[in-house]
Amino acid sequence: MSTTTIIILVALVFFAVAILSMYNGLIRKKNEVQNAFGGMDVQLKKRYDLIPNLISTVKQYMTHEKDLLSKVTELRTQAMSGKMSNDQKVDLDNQITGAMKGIMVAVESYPDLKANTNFLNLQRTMNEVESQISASRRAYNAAVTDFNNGVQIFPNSIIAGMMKLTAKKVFEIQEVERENVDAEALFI
Amino acid sequence: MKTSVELISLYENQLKPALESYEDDRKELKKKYIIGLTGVLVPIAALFIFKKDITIPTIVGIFSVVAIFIYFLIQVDKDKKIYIMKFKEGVVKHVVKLINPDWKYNSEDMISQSDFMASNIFPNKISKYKGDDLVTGVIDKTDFQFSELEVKDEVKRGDKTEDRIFFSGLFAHADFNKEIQGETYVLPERGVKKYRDLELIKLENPEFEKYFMAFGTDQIESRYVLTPTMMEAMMSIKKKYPNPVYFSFKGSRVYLAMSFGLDLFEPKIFTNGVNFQDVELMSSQFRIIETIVHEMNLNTRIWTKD
Repeated sequence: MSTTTIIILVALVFFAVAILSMYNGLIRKKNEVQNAFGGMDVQLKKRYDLIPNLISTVKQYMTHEKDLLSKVTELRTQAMSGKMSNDQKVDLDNQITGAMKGIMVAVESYPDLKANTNFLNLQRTMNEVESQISASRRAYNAAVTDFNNGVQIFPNSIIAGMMKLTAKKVFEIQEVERENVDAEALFI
Repeated sequence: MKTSVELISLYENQLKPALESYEDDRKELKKKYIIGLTGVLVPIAALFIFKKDITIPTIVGIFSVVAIFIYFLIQVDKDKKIYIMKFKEGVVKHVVKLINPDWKYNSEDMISQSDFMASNIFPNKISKYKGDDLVTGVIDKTDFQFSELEVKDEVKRGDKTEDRIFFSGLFAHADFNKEIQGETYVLPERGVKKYRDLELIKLENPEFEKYFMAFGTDQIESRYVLTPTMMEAMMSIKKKYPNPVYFSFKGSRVYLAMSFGLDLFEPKIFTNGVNFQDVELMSSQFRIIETIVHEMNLNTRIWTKD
């Protein structure tokens, strides 16, 4: 074997190893995103499980917010049906987040409800779940950022293009969440 | 929170007279140390200077003198311990009581080794463990313990093993306000490739990432612990006290280790002990635990844990 052949072979092996490690790296990052989305899903399910309890506790007191409560129940049923794409799930989740905040704001006008032990416990659990959801969203964002860096940075971007991987969207706080929620206005 | 006006008044009315009454003891101790050290060092120096002309009986004589002075220094050290105890009872205790009269202070006690190990912050195998100035108390809903510690491990140097200090400073643990199953650690350093078998937690706050590295057993739970507010709190603690600071969240507690290069809450021997600055510094060091509880919002109990 001539020196040139050896150099070409070594270069080819080096090239193949480099491509393989980039490929594996991207697959790992893609799986991490999926895993993080799964983690978020688990937390969202916890919230869905809490909704019926919350509704049954608050509806005895909240006489003026019937529409708001039935809207939350409806959104929950939709979310539980399970036939949705990730984007639809995210969208629905945002609506539920807004509606839940609406309920919590409305509670302020019912002092008896605010003093109810059952409601107080539910409120604590709700805070817990909301914090977990927010943590899981941040974990998802971190995984997506890592994935996007992998997909967009050269030379990974070439392999990612061949694998048809494109950058994903990170969670952004919606306008409705940034503002003080006007419960009724959410459903108009 | 007690103001510095109250600290000044405590100093003027109670601590200053106490410190002044210790001054004679301090001067006596200082004198004894100087005599003792001179008694050890001068003969040894003479041995080196006159090494050519020295006879064996002189060497024996010199060593006897050195031995006597070493014995003398050991006795002085015992006096120093008595002096330190007086200082802690008469000064340190009152500084702690001023911050909060319900806090308990024990100058000789320390955070237990099992609690230190439970924090899991340092993987080192402990060879020597000592500490003092234990403060125990409750701030609103958060119980805490806080003490000075000096912890050593063994390192090999050539054929010999030597003790090496791997942590010296303030160590605290307090009740954490959230239920957690896993573990989360925050280290004051960059570039750590691996920390135990834990996952690196990349956080979205670039300033936090500049000062700290976080590791944990679960990406979501670690973020549940390290909320944006918590990260701000840690940075604020870091800015107030530039010493390296470690945090761990494990079981129902948050642990904190803050390295200090010097002995804390001890009286001075070689310089005048009657000065307000020393008392003020001591008070601010005891207040670190208050800062931690408040900055980290540990009294906020809106989650499932009461």
